[in-house]
Amino acid sequence: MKDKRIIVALLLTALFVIKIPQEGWRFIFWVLGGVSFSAMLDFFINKVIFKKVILPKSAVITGFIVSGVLDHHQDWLILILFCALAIISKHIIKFKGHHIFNPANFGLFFAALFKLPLTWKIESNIFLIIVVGLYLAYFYKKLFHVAGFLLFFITLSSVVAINAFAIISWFFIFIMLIEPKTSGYGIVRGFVFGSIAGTASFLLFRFIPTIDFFVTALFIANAFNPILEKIKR
Amino acid sequence: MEHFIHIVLHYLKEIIPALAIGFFISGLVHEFIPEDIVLKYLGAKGIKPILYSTLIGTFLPVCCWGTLPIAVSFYKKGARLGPILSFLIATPATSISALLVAYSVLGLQFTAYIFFAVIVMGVVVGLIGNTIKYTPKGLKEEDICPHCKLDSSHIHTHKKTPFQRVISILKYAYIELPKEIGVELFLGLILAALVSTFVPIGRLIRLYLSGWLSYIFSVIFGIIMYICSTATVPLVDSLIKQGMNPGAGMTLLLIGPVTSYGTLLVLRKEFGMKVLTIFLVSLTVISLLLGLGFQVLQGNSLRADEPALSNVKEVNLEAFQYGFSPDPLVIKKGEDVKLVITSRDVTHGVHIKEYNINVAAKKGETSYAEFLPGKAGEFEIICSIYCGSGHNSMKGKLIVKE
Repeated sequence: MKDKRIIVALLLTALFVIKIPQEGWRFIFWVLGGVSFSAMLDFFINKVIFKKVILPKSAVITGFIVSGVLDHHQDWLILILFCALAIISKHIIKFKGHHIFNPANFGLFFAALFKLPLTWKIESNIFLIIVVGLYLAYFYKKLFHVAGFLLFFITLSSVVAINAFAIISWFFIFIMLIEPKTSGYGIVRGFVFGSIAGTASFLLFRFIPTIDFFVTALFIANAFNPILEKIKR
Repeated sequence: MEHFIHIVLHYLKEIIPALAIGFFISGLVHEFIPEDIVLKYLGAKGIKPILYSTLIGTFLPVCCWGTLPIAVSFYKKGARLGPILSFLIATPATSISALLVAYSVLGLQFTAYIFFAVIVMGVVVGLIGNTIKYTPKGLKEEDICPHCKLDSSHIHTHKKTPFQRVISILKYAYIELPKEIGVELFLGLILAALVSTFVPIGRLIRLYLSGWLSYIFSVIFGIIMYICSTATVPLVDSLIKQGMNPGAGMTLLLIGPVTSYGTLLVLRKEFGMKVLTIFLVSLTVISLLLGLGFQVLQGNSLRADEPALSNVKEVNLEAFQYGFSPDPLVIKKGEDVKLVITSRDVTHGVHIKEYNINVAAKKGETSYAEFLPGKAGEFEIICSIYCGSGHNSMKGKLIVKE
């Protein structure tokens, strides 16, 4: 499979299906609603504003992540609002022609700011996530992002006697952190990006744990993208 | 009625000493920091005039109506748009008397944050304003100084004797300023007392304004209604005491004094639709973000030292990786409940959607959530803060019995 986004979409579908027996019908409609809406909105924006016809594969992944992480008991309007925010951010917030914020994370960050519960239902099987995620990180050349994150998050947590493995989100690391377009390429850049995310995650967990620390940390790391681009690959 | 009068008197007792000092300092500022000094710093380029106009505006005792003619005259004299917008925001958003009243009613944390937030708001909107190209309007008849008939775009002052200065300070502090904001201040107090007295208003606030809807309320109410910065303080205090989200209260404190429906009309007429739109959008976004920031800093839970109401039943709830104890949590319908929430391991979030409860439970700390279970049935308790790989399955049950 040349386009690895299909693998990501298949992994997300599998994780979604695994969770269905526990969560029921509303969860099915919630996730499918988020995916369809995100895909349609992205297709519409590309067609009407940018006069391009593109199969919205990235938007499908964005829809899966937003709806899979956001609590599915919330109002439908909330799902639409944050999926739209995620997709629109990709087209509006750009630096040197490409977006700097992971779209799904952007939407989720604002959901977290509004104190909406992020239940991360999509993280239904960590073994599947780690296996496929390692393959994706290797293929996308993002292993150093993961290494930077883990090194800083685990070391800092150990200093204050917190077992980092008890709170780590593998879904966040292998699906959200290594998103190809918004996490930068190159060994040094990747490591620095991962380190910023790891350090921010730890600091937020330690000092402001009331806000979702992974989502906020990735938002912070993404904000560093324009500076990180100055680092040679 | 007795309760209502009692609350009005309580607020008066709280704010009158602060107002007296605040008005006096405002009189001093008014006398010794004349508008021409402000103008001198507004015309320059770069970030400095924005900082100056924001800082000066923060202390100047002028409401949003009073700020408008000053801003319009600066605009006509060719000042850059950035400092003008900063001035339009920072000046009405707060003043010395408002800060003193905020300190006496809401405490140091609120006051320090308001001061910081107004500066951030002024600087950010100013920087946005500096990126807009516009052509200043020409000088008109009314721009001529009434005292010396000079073109008032030239910086000049009129000499006064020390006695005249004292009279001027006292006149401004205790006659002109109370005349300018007295009615609004009184209305603000009445509104605050109404919110605190009327049980249905309190219920409505607890139902709808404890969550994110409160931000929408604050923005719309703040943009349309005019309440001066000093009068907003007791109103926000009473709204928060009735259960309004403190972050939304902060948003209301920031946006309420800056705009009103009337000032928007004047702004559109004088500066044009483009500037008005940019002003409103940036003001709304920044005040929302600052409100959210305040909420994050405060945490979503009630303070641990908050006194318990006598007729409230306390129920313990412990969160742990990955469940709640007791599970199910059984309570009786119609009986006021105070959840005493603790965490066994890491930080968890206790979220009960149907009762609009979303409280953080930090390890080693106790959080509280009060609610009136008005609906019998079974409700899900979920963890709203990521707490580990089992977070997605962490849930409990709340049973409300008839």
